[in-house]
Amino acid sequence: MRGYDLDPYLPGRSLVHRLDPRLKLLLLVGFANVALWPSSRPLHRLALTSALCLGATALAGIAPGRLAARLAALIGLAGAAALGTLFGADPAEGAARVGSVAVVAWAALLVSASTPIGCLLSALAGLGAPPSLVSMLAIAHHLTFATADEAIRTVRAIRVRAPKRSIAGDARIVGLAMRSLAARCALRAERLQWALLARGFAGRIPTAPLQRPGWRDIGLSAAAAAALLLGHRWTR
Amino acid sequence: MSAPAPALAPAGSGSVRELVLASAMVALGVVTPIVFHMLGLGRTFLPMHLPVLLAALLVRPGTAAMAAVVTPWLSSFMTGMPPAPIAVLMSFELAALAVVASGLLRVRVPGPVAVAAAVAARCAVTFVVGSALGRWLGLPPNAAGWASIVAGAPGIALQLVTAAPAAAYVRRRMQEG
Repeated sequence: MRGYDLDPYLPGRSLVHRLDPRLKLLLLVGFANVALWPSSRPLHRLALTSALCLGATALAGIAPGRLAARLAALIGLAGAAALGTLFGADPAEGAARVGSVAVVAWAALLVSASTPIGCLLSALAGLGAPPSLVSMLAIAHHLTFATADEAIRTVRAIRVRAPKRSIAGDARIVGLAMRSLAARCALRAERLQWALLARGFAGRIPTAPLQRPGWRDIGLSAAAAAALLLGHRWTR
Repeated sequence: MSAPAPALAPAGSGSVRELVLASAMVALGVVTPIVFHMLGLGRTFLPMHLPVLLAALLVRPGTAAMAAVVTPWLSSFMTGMPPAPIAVLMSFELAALAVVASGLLRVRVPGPVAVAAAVAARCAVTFVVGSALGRWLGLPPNAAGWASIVAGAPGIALQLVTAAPAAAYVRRRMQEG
């Protein structure tokens, strides 16, 4: 799919890449809480969380542009905040709020760019997520690539048969493609189900066990948590 | 309303079947928005809602709700859309859609009626979420709530027209093998 990279992971050997995935998820939740918590100094809070986020991105050795490209979906939210100023909202506060959402989205992208999906699933299992939820995520992630590949071929095939472009024509293409894709997905699920049952699957996809976090993991996480807490107190 | 599992199926295969089928619909929920964007149709058609609704019409409420919650998160992880904080809000909307549609089918309500009720419930949640988001951004809450519903009007029409026939088509294809 042109323009869509379905695997967000960018391999690396940085400290952020090697940090325990459970601690990464916990830090992400803490970071989101601090970034979105109401503050009397929202611009200071935004500056602090942005600095932390950019620092972690630099530590991970990931080019900021790779993550920024995935934040385009927030333009609508920025437009809504701009509209709010017409109704008397404080522009600085509106900008800080949209900024805080963008920073949290950035942090989530950083976690996905620095952690392979297998480790994230293991982390979710390790943090007590229901096994059926972890299994659903694992199976859906696996099936997404096949479905995306099929979607491209289906859309191309239908387009070749109806090359003349119009809104009604495009709507028809989408309708036909979706119907065909849904049926193929269901049939693939049927085959996968029998394959899983034949291998003794009982509703739980095994995830690789994670090692106990090392001192480096704990130290880095403690430093990040302390920075968040101090920043939260300073900008409360 | 999923088709019964074959007689030779081992114990517990029904739940495995549901889990895998719902996972397939989650995968479709990640891919559908990309297909819509490829053809320039955008998010007004609520492309992620269709596969979730389809899952709700094919599996039990619990599994459907899980698929609804998981879909925006997996999409956010794999494509960056929706951004993580928006995925939280979408999870609530999609969960309402899935639970109401699947729950009503369980009590033998006809498919199109269940879809209409589910879409209405989803709109109610969207209104609440849109109002809260609007208030947070300094917009008039009610206007923001209504705007968030109206912005998805083409998607609502699409769901009302296509969801139940599509689910029937998928079920028929699965029975044919």
